[in-house]
Amino acid sequence: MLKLLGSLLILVACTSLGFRIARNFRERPRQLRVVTQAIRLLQAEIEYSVTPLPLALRRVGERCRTPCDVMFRVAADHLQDADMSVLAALQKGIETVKSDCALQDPDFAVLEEIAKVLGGVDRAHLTKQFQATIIQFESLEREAEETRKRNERLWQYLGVLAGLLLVILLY
Amino acid sequence: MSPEIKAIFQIFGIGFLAAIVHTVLKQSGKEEFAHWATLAGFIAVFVIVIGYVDHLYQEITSVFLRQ
Repeated sequence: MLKLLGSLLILVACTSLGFRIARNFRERPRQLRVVTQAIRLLQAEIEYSVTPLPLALRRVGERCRTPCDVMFRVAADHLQDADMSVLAALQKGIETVKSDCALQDPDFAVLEEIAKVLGGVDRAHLTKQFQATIIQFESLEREAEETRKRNERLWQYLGVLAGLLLVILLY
Repeated sequence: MSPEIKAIFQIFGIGFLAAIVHTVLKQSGKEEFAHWATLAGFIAVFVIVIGYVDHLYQEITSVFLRQ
């Protein structure tokens, strides 16, 4: 009886581990889409409504889903409270969400790239920079989608099978 | 269940799972990992079998050579 309970626990643990890893692969394309959307909104806020940056970041944060909402809100707070550069403020935001979102370092690097020029260049340059960022995010998203197709199902299966294997070996 | 029957089922299970893992890994384009997984399954079975072979040898030596 105790043995059965133990094997069940091992099986559940391994399965959930597999699904957790698979979830990361599933979430990354979705979150990249959210970030792309956020960049588009930010571009509209800055170029057409001429909103000041902290306010624009906050508004975009309100309209986006996780992880963009928290990231942009934290960045806006830091930008308003302390006398920080845009890059440093956004880095604070990135640090806040980094541990519990599926985005990876290259994605954040693209975000930091746009933060470097925000507020420092003229309008034509900024438009080009926004366009370039959006294109980069779209290509990252395609890549992430490709990775998801290959890895999501694989990790789900592997989790269950590893659990079964452990149970058989230890039984 | 006697230990021998248990071992047979264990080996069957490991072989079965190794085959599935191999297929799953191969389908998602990770052939080198698939081969490693098969090798790992083989080694696991080997470790189980080696205990029984050792037992068998000891039986044989005790029957024929201990005079």
